[in-house]
This record gives sequence, C-alpha cells and structure tokens, in this order.
Amino acid sequence: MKLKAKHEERHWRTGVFMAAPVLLGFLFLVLYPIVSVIRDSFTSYNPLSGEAAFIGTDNYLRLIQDETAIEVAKNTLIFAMILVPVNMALALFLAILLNLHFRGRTSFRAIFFSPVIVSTVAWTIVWKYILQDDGPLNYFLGNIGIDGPNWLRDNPWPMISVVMVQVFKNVGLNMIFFLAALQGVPEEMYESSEIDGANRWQQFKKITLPFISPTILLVAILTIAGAFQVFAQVLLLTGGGPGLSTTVLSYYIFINAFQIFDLGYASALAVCLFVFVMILTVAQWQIRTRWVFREV
Amino acid sequence: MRNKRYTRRNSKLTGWRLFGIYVILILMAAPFLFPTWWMFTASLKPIEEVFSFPSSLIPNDFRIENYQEVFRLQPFLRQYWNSLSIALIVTVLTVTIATTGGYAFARIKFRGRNKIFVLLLTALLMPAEVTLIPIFRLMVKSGLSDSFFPVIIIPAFGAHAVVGLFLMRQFFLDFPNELEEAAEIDGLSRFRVFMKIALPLAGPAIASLAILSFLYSWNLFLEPLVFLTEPNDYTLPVVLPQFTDTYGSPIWNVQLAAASLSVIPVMIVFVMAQRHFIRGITMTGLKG
Amino acid sequence: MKAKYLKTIAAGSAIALVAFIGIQPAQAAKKGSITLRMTMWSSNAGHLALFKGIADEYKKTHPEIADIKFESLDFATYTQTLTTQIAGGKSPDLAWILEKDAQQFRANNLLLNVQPQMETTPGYKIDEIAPGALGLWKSTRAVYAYPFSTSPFAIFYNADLIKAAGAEDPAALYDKGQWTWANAAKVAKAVTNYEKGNYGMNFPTFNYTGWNGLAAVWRGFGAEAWNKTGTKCTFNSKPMIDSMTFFHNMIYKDKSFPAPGIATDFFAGNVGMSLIQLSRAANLSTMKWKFGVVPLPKGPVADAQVIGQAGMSVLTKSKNRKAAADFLVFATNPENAAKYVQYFPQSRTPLMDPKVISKASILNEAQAKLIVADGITKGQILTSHPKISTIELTIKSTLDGLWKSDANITQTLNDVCTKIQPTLR
Repeated sequence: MKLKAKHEERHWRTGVFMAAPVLLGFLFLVLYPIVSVIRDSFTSYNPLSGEAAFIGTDNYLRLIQDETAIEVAKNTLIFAMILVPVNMALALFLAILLNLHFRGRTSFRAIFFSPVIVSTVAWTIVWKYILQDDGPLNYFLGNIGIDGPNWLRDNPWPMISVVMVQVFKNVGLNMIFFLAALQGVPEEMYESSEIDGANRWQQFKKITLPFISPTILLVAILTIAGAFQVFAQVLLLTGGGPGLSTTVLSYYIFINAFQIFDLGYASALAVCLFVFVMILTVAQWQIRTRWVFREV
Repeated sequence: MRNKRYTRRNSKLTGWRLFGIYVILILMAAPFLFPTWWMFTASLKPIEEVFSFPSSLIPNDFRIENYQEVFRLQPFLRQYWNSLSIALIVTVLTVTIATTGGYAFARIKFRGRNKIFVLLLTALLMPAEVTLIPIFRLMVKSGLSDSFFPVIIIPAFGAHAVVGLFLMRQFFLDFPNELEEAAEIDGLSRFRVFMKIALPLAGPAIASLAILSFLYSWNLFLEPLVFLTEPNDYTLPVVLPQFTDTYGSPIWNVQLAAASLSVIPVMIVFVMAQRHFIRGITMTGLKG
Repeated sequence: MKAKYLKTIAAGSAIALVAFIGIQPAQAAKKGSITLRMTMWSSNAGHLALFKGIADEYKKTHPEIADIKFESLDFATYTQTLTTQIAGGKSPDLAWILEKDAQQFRANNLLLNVQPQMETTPGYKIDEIAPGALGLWKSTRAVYAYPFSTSPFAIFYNADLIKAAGAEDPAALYDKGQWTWANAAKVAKAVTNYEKGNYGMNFPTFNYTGWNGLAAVWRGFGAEAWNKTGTKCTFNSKPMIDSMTFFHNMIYKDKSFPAPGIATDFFAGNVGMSLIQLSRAANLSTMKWKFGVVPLPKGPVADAQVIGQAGMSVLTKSKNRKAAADFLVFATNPENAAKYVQYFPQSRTPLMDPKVISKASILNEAQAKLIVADGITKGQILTSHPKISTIELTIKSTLDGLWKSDANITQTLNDVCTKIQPTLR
C-alpha cells in the first residue's frame, strides 16, 4: 500500500500539468471576475464617459432601499420556487413513464428531449408567437370554448409563461438524468420487496427514491442554480414586463450594466445574487447527509 | 426462483394500461412538438395568414420568399458560418481541457486536489451576468472586445469547462485500475498512460461532451450579444430577434424562417443520432 | 482504435484551425488608408443606396479613404447597441443619433463639435439650417450634429376605409377647423365598428414601449413629462392625467386602438388612421387605396405639432475624427442635403419649400406646406433628458400600469413621479 501511495504522488507534476488549463481558465474567468465584481461594487463606473470613483458602500445602501431591486428579488424567488419543483417533478414523472417497457418509448424520449438541443432564442421566439393574444394557443383554446388570457401581459400569466417556456425547454435533460438513475436501481431490491408484499407506491418511496437520491440532489443543485440565470427568455418574451413583473435579478443586472451603464450598481446586485446562490447550494450540500442515501 | 410476478416489471405493457400511457404521453408531448410544427408552418405563410383568424394548421399559400428575405435582410450565411465555426473551436477546446483536467482530478493525486475541486464547483453557481461585467472590462482594456476571442474563450475555459471537467472526472473515476497499473509497470509515463490507455476508451464520454459543448456554444446568447456589435460578426441567436420592421415589431414569418434554418441542421443530426446521443449522456452522467 | 481517435482529433483540430483563421474580422485593406463606419437604424434599400452614392462620390476626390461602410442596426435596440460599441472600445466614426439621446450623449462628451468644419468649408451655408431645428444639437459656440431628418408627426389615413365607415374625412374636418382629438376619436370609433378586424387608429412608434412618442397626444392637452429644465416631474399633472384618460378610453372603451400584444399594419388596409412620422412612411407609394395626410389633431388646450429628429454626428471616440468630420460636412452640404428630401424632411430653408418637397415625395404641395414646412417651424421636438437612460426603464415599466382595462390612471402617473423625481433633481 505504501508503495502505491508514493507511486501515485510521483505523478503530481503530470497531474498539475493536465489540470492547468482548467485551473487557469478558472482563475481568469471565474475567480478574477468575482474579485473584480466585489471591488467594482464599491465604485461608480460609467464606461461611456470612462469615469470611475470609489464610493464605499453607497451602492449597497441604495440597493437595500431600492424598491425596484426588492421587487426584482421577490420575482426571482417566486420564479425559482415555481420552476424548480415543477421541472423536477415533471422530469421524474416522465422518466418513470419512459422507463416502462412499451413500443415507441425511445421515440418519446427523443421528443421530450428535443427542445434541449434547440437554441434558447429560437425556442423563445416561437413561444412568443404562440402566446400572442391573437396567436395559436388562444386560437386552440377558443375552439374548445375557453377565452384565453393575454398570456404575456395579463398578470399573473406572464411570469407563469416565462417559467413554463423554460420548463419545457429544459425538463428533457433532467428526465434523462433521472432515467439513468432509475436504470441503476438493482432489480433484486424490487424482487425481494415484492416477496414481502410491498405495493408499487411503497416500492417507490422506500426503494426508488432513496436509490436515486444522489441524482435528485445533483439535479436540484443544477436546476436551482440555473433558475437564477434565466435571461434570454425574459428579454425576448416580455422585456421584463408588464411593469416589472417578470424582471428577474439576472435581467436587472444586465439592464443596469448594459443599458443604464451603471456598472457599480450592477456589480453590487451581482454580488448579492452570487452570495444568495452560494448559500442555497451550500445549504443543500450540507443537508445531503440527512436524506441522500449514498455517498456522493 | 423467478416468481411470475417479478417479470411484470420487465414485461411489455399491454391492453388498457398501454393505451392509458400512450394517451398521457401524447397529450404531454403537445407542448414539446407543436412549437416546432408552428415554427415551420408559420415560416412558410404570407404575413396576413400568420395572424389570420381562424388560424390555419397548414399554410394555404406557400411563400418560399420568406426564406429568401432572411438572407436579404441580414448577412445570414456569414452569420451561420460564424456560429458554426465558433462552436467547432469551442468544442475542440472544451473537450481537450475537460478530458485532460478530468483525468487529472480523477486519477492523479496532487496536493490540495480535493479542495481545489470543490472550489471549482463554485464556478457552476456563478451566474453569467455576474462574471460578464468584469470580463467585459478586461476585454475592453486588452483591446479584445471587438473580436471573437471572448465568445470562444468564455465557454471553452470558463464555467462550462468546469461542467465538462466534472463529467469527465466522474467517468474516469469508474475506470478500472488494473489496465493503467499494468501499463505503468511496463514503464510508460503517466501522461502516456492517459494517451494510450484511458483516452481511447473514453470515446463515448468524449462524444457526449463534444455534443453538449457544441450545443452550448451554438445556443450562447448573452456573450455574443454583448461582445459582437457588427452584423457581420453576429451569431445566430443574436440575429434571430432582429428580423423586425421599421417600427421594431417582429416580422414573424421571416423571423420564424430564420429560426427554422437555425434549428434544422441540429434537428437532423439529433434525429439520426438520438439513440447514441441519449445513451452517451446517461453514461457520463450523474448517476451518483 | 487509438489511431482512429488520434485521426479524429487531428482532423478536428485542422478544421478548427482553418475555421479560426477564416473567422477573423476583416482587417483594413491597406496601411495608411482610412475606413469610415457610420451606424444607422434603417435598412431600407433606398436609404442605403442614397448614402452609398454619396460615399462613392466622396471617395473619388479623397483617395486616402479606402471605404465608407454603412452599418444598419436594429431600430428597437439602436441606442443600446451603439452605446455598447462605444463602451466596448469599438466606436463607429459617424452615427445617426436619436433626439431622445441627444442630451445624454452630449453630457457624456460623445459627440464631436463640427462647427469649425462647417464654417470653414466653402459653400456649406450653415446659416441655411433653421435655428429651431438645430436647437438640440448646438450650444453657443459648437454644433454637435447635422439634423438630417426633422420629421413631424402626422396622421396618415385610409380615405376609402373612412368613407366606407361613414365617418367624416379628416382633411375636410381640418379645413373646417374641426380637426380635434375628440373628432379624431369619433372617426376612429366609426372605422372600428364598421367591420370586425378593423382598427380606427394605430401608433407604431409608440406600440406600448416607445412612451416618449405619446407627446404627440399629451401636448395637445397642455401636458409634458417634466419642466423645461428637467428638474421636476410633471407626469402627474392634471393635463397629463386628462390626456392619458382620453387615450386610455380610445384603447379600452372605444376599442378603436389595438390593445397590447395585437399586431396591426396600416399598410395592410384594415386600419383607418396611423400616427406616424413622415420619414418612416416610405411605403405609402405602394398603397392601392386613396390616402390622405393631415397634421396632428388639436387638443383641448393647444394645437401642438410634434417633431422627431435625427442627427448625424461624428463620435469623439472615433479613431478617424478629422476624416469623419470632413465626410460629414460633405454628406450634408446643400447639394447632398437636397437628395435626402425624398426620404427625410430637411431643415435647410430652401429645402423646406413646399414645391421642392412635393416634387421629391408623395405629398402634394398643400400637404407639404401644412405638414412639413409649418410643422418644422411651429413644431416642438420630442421629449428628451440628460439622464434619459437612467430613468427610461423606470418610466416604461411604471407606465405599463396604464395599459390594462382597469388601470388607475391617476395612481400610476403619481407612481412615475414618485419614482423618478429623485433622479431628476
């Protein structure tokens, strides 16, 4: 054993060499920006005129009192709290269905996965057309006697529309991850539980869920992190409106940075977003020992 | 000792159950399929029919001119090429970086390896809008903001590369040790072990990563939006919303024609390769 | 197995390398030659041909200019794209500037003073330019843009449709001195009720996002967004409330104005009247029905004509400022300005002659005098503000509260002022 340990460490130079590109990338494209954003959040910087000045915590004080920022933060939370459960539940449901044996299941898998490969912009543009007040969706609803609302303008539908467009785009990927996980559950577990007289629902709760819990955790982390980064959908579907009702934090940061050109304030907002997502992810990671069945 | 009941789990569904499943699946498939259908059909309609009341499922009046308009209004061919070439470069770079890095983190011990890996994971959480601002300034200062450099470097070396690294590391973790140990006893250096033994067997994982990276770059919107300001340099996602009339409202049929053009090649490849593709993603995946 | 993978990697890298070389943005042709770039928000073929023609003529006498490129940016995001180019170190040499951005661009020192070139170039005749038109673009000793389009808002109408709906012709109303907003609303309502799918009036520049175009409505009621110095918000003044109530009724009570999310096109023939700027009405010649043109209706308080402007400027962050300024002066001298008349109303006095205008455009002489000549001299330019990009988002998103059927107009307008007043100070 000792020989093996020395043997492995002998190669650490190769290891560092091979890991270098990704580490360098991380340094410049992740670490440096984080540090930079934190530093910028204490300044006022207008790239149009080129003026920058150190203004201490002014941006943060402004942030706390900014009604817009507070409303935007609220929207972002609502958005995530709807999107994540809907996405994950739908993905799991589809994965279970498509794990059964029947003809055509591969085609269905492909159908549900197809939006994942389409460009977000193309997908969003098509939905913008479909959701128009006088568009195809309301036409179909009208045919079955329902007077559809103006999906992109009558609250609360704009937010729901943005969420669902993103869910349909993305759920196929989560479905595939769950599918893989489901196929990893050992058959013997089900067989022995049937001997003990367990029904389908009990099997699901006591066997399936625990076994795929590592995947659930990882999908949750990725989906939650992704929910806070939705941007193109907002820009193209509603432009943040009506009013501010679909303006989420990532979109608000973009506007402050690239339309208002107040980079200091945008940076302060970005720091808040980053800290929040960090806390959420660490929290999920820490409580994993409670409910995740196996070591990840 | 196979009890007859067990085979139920693995047997084919029949009868009412099967019918029920089909009904549910077809209903649920609607929002996944119809958008694509509407996109293609609307792209072929004249503008009056796009919003005609009642809406038509199949165009009454085919207008191929919509597609010609796409090329007339924008240097679309050039923009297509931009998207394609950028995606190819990003794919090659990402695969190289993620595979070598993933192998290192999985199979080679070096000081602080695990701690660094956890640190890298924070890159996954970083919203692009957060990192974009300083990167924008960095690019401006180094005079690179008016080129394709940021649009290539950011996906290939940034957060996406970390995702790739994560996937490849996961794959290499499950690698059997014996093959490599045998090679090392034969005197190969660690790197050559990687090149000659590990890499060739990583084919499916690399293929999946390549496909994911290509799609990621193909669909990138925020970075091209910010860094590419000349129509000749645009990539497809940036161009699509720009088919508007003089007042800024979208010319739907032309815009959807452009969207169709950007989606068709990806769809074709996908349909042909979907079996391998989906299986490949499962293999690298987050089974845990 | 191994060889196959190595080959794939090699092939992939080769392709990538070729692609990489192929996509490098085109470099300037020769060393020492200058390439100028002007951004514009139109991609109209006629406009482009016009400018290219002027550029070609200029190149003949200026060999140091390798090329002059005209870049069409999307109108809806024009300001943002332009400012991103500037902030990103890739400023164009010349640019069209919207009137609403004029003050902000000047405050940030983005526009070059071209008065020296204008005054020293023989034959430029800077005094021909109507002083009112230069207002936004000049200070006592500097000129920051040439106002290449001074375009009044007017009402274009479908005479055939209005007649069929049994409403009175707007030109007839105008002649009787009864072309008011109240009567315009009546005409609109008649057209809407005439046939399903018709709308009495649309307003493409506004379209629920371009709020500052609403000045075409509110000024007739004596309202304005802020006071003259831009330090006090007047969105919540009584005249503004009255004007927005009137407009709201047209949309939600009469339903003669398309609600948000509904796409309409005046040139498709089912819209009675269209509130548009002259310079954007290039499609009129292709219409198959009889059309008419009248100025904006009178409001209860004032007969307010509204002008939109576009200036052509040299950007201070350009790398070829002198060459760009020289080209600007050439492109806007009396001979070339005369070529713009067919598309953009000019503010050089000889070009404001109704005879000249009607010869070059689709308007007849009477219409030309009414709308262009009188409009430019009497009209007021659209609302602007030095801090426009900071408050624009807030105004637009707050005003969104107006565009629903149960809107509380007074409350919404009060909200606008509450939110933007701190910044206006």
